[in-house]
Amino acid sequence: MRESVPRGRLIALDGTDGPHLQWAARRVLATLRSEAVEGGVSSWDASGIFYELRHGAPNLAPPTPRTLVLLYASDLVFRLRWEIRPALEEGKCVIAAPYVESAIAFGKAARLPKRWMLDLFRFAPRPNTCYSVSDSTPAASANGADPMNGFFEFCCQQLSACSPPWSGTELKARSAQYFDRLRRIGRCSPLPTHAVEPGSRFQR
Amino acid sequence: MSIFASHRSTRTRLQELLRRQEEKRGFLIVFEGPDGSGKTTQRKLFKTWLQNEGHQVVTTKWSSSPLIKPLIMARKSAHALSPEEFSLLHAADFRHRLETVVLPALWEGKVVVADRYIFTALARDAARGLDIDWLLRVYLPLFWPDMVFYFSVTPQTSGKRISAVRAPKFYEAGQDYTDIEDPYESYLKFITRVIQEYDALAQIFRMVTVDAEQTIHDQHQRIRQLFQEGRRRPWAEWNVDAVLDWLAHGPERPAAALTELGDLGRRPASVAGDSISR
Repeated sequence: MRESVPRGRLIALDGTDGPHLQWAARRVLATLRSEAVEGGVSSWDASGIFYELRHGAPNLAPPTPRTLVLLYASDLVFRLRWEIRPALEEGKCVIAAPYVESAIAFGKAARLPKRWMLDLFRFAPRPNTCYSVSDSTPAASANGADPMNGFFEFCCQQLSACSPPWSGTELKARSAQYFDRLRRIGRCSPLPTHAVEPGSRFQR
Repeated sequence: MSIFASHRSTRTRLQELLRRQEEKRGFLIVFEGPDGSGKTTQRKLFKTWLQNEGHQVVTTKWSSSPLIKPLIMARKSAHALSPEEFSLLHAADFRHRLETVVLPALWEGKVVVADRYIFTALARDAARGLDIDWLLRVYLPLFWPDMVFYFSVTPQTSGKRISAVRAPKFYEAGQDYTDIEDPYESYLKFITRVIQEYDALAQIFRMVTVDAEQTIHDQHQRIRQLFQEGRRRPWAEWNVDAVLDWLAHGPERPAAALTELGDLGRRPASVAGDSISR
């Protein structure tokens, strides 16, 4: 079911901080453009389902982590269909921020089986490169980003309505452990500082 | 103790709990079949009969989660769904209903009558060309009903019954898949594929096939009879993973059960002053 990545280049930026991911994606794109690389950013919730959930009818039973991951997968299908694949087929570079590992990190933190998530996301092509964006990246709030605008933030907000509520701090800590492990086994690397510095070169 | 040993121990404890719960818990009865097979009529008759017999009955319909249904409806009306999105949104809708409606009601001893279940997704999505193995994995952990009634009709009967009252809708007619402009023609082509999938699923999953070409009265009598003869599908053997998943993640869980689950029943819970967002 997994299809190979077409001609372009797919860069995945994954992490638990939505605003930081958005900020980092914009900076990486700017750096790539300065190197005359054509490309764009594919962000979370392009399909609008999470926006609609947030603004939907109040007082409904909140979704569980498994439902949230299914919804993320649906949104990612939309992004692949309308944003990522068409750009890759034109030979462009796509920065997917977030991509698959962010959802798996959340699911792992919420104790969903990793095997289930790997099977679920097998429709998504492997990225050429996967970077983890840590929370230590310069604060996105300083760049005007909505501090609640991200998959992880959305999930924590939804799960806070459960009884008993989930702990966002603990979920985040567990997700960070997952990214640490990915880095240790070489499945992703920390986003290099030079990729987000103005005037720097990305493709070294 | 290794995590595997701990998990085994939790499973064992849950199985014991489920064995004790077996006589107290309710039944899950599923009505499956293609559009126009008359299953909704039978489901309503069956529900009334169950209530008259003194059962507390909860009904759940396909694509009816108040949380997810509006998302699906909006995208269906825009004809904007790919087969994978269609499938995943319905899977989310199903999971939400399972965790918030079906399992809590069953745990409390009610009878849940489901108008369509995961077999609807398997038949329709496979008819749209999606891989059945992937579809089954999307719906993991599977929660097995006690009994599944499959209302079997020919594509022609299904087509006649649907077109007698209205034109088939875009996705119902499979027009996203067939690319046929005429909804009736598309419906007949698509429902033929769906019924082929259903027939295969009915054999694999040992559904109780009801000849939906019979009279309404005859079908209803047969369903009553089969229900009375039917046995529970023991949760401790069939549904441990799904119940464990619910007890670990569900928004509202039976408190008594959680004590027995130990650490796996514990979720990363909030503590005083804990910040959710950061």
